[in-house]
Amino acid sequence: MRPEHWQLWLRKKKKLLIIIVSGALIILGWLMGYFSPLARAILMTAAALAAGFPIAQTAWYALRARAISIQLLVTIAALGGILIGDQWEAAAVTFLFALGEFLEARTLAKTRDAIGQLLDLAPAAATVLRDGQEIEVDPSQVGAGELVLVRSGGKIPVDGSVIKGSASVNQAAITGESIPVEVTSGSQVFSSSIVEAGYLEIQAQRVGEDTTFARILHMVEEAQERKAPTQKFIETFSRWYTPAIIALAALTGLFTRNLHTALTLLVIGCPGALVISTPISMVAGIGNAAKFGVLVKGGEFLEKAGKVTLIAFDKTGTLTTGKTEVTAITALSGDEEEVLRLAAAVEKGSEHHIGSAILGRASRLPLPDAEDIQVFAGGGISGQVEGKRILVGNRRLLEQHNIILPPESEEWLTAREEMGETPVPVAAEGKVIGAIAIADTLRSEARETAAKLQQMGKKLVMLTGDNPRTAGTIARQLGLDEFQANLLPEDKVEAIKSFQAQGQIVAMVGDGINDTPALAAADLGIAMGAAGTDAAIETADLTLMSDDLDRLSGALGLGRATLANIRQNVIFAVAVVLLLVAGVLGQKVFLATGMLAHEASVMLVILNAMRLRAWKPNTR
Amino acid sequence: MAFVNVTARLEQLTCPDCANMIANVVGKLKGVEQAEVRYATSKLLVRFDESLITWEAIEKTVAKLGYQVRSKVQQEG
Repeated sequence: MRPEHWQLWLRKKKKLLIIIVSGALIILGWLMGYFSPLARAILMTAAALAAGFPIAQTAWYALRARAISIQLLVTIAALGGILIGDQWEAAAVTFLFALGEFLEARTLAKTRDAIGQLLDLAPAAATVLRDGQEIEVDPSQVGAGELVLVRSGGKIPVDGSVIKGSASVNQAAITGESIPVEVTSGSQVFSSSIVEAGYLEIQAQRVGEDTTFARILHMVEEAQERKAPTQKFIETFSRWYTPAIIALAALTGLFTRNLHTALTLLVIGCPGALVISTPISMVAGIGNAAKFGVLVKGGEFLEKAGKVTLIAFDKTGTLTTGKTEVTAITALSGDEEEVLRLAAAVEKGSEHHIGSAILGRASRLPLPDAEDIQVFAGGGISGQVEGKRILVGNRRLLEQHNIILPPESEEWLTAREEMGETPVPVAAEGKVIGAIAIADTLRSEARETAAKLQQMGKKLVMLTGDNPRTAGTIARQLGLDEFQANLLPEDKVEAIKSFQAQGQIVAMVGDGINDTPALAAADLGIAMGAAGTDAAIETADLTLMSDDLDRLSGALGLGRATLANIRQNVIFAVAVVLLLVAGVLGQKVFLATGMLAHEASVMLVILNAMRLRAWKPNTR
Repeated sequence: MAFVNVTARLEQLTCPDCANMIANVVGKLKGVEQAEVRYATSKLLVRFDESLITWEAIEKTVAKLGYQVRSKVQQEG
């Protein structure tokens, strides 16, 4: 190796070398102690100086900036130990401090490497088509609109839509779901997904830092930095605790002349295990959540996820797949196609799932243009078609427009509702001309998830804008505890507030698009199937990236595990603080043992938090 | 005035107090307008005037406190 390599190696391994040298000197000191107490004292002093020099250096530079550091307390304790003739304790204190820091840093890095693991998933290169030539570029250098080619085994480097080709794609990096999905032209794909088999030509829409994946990484980092309320409290506590202990040490030294005890107090002056108890569990919990496709905005929300008592669900797109289909059409005149044609004309501009179902069914019909479109939130839609005022909506909307539902339509509607379908009457010029029934399939995992959540002791409520009969059928199928139907978006907010007034801690689960106010009103807003929908990720406190309801029980379970982990850590750390202070004042704990207990308690807290890293959903 | 923002990843910090200490010391350097150390991600975010202090000097100060800089990203302005 060349000299500069040596230097680099030395600098990198400096901390480890110091620990080895200092440790060796201590052992040598013990051995020599049998022959010569003086040799022992010298060797122990040397060990203390070796391990203590970097600590003192930190303390000095911090002190020059008028900052009192733990390193300063340790330095004073060690120097004091040497001066009062207790070189062994001084050596032990500095050695244990250095060793503790070293081991803790290594373990902490492991606890936090969820981000590192995510980073490994990031694509390294992109193949783009420029002037008919395939060239390889850095993924951040791809321009929006450019054509990106990905072959079997390749990683998709951008967010975009598939122009040509088909493939099975593993989106685990985004959704945490490793079962591949089939994509073809028109499909939306995300950066960092892997093409397991097939070939895709993708038009880039978002690249580099704008991709969903890059923003997930960013959010996980931000979330880990956000301080939970418990953490703020503990930090305030330690801000007072340290000066109080220093004052106590000074008083003890002055009045009792017991320098040994005074110095020991300095060693335990930083409640290390306590200050890291909360953040370290949070970081591990948030990191783990990201690995299985659950984005948490911050530690406080993970805490809340552990405390939730009631879960409110939106129906469409949450408990159901949201892929609605027209199941039946009825027309008073007998011309069902006419009912469909007029309804579809009005729904042309609608983004509502009922509209898309009607349009889907009418795709082969030539549709006239509609004018003067009016959308009634939670009600329906109306517009002027071929000179006629067409209205498509629920019963309430008909009432508001003073349109009477004829008995035969009423009968048809009721029958459909009892089947769990959503029938919508269609009116022309103030008269009902027919109705269209729309059905939505329940998610295959919905029932199992509901049972799991109820087993966890959660109350389950469905809040829907749909009619009571349809809602009731679905609630019964899933075994929900309660449902409220015919709700407007603002009614959902009211419902959530009334649950909160009953003392419930409420989580609201929705698709994050239509339920924004409800998500915001709940203690914990959860958006699901949110990969690619930015608005949902922005609003929600917790986001299930995959379109899989089952992640919900996993996320809440992880929240509970994190909460338990934090409690264990805090109780343990507080006990350690109390025992140490009592032990030092009761003359049972001295420099070396004090430092050993301090470092060991920090290490135990970290190791406990590490258990969260291994936590998996479904292993309750 | 030529302000620069640097985000640097430090070696693993073991306690929130160390993070505060580093932010405190770096923040008091001449030419440094703002310094923040994030404990959970071991990141140093610093905004300084390049005509008064160099990044190398800041890095050296952090090293004297006993922490190595692992990587950094720099932004003008």
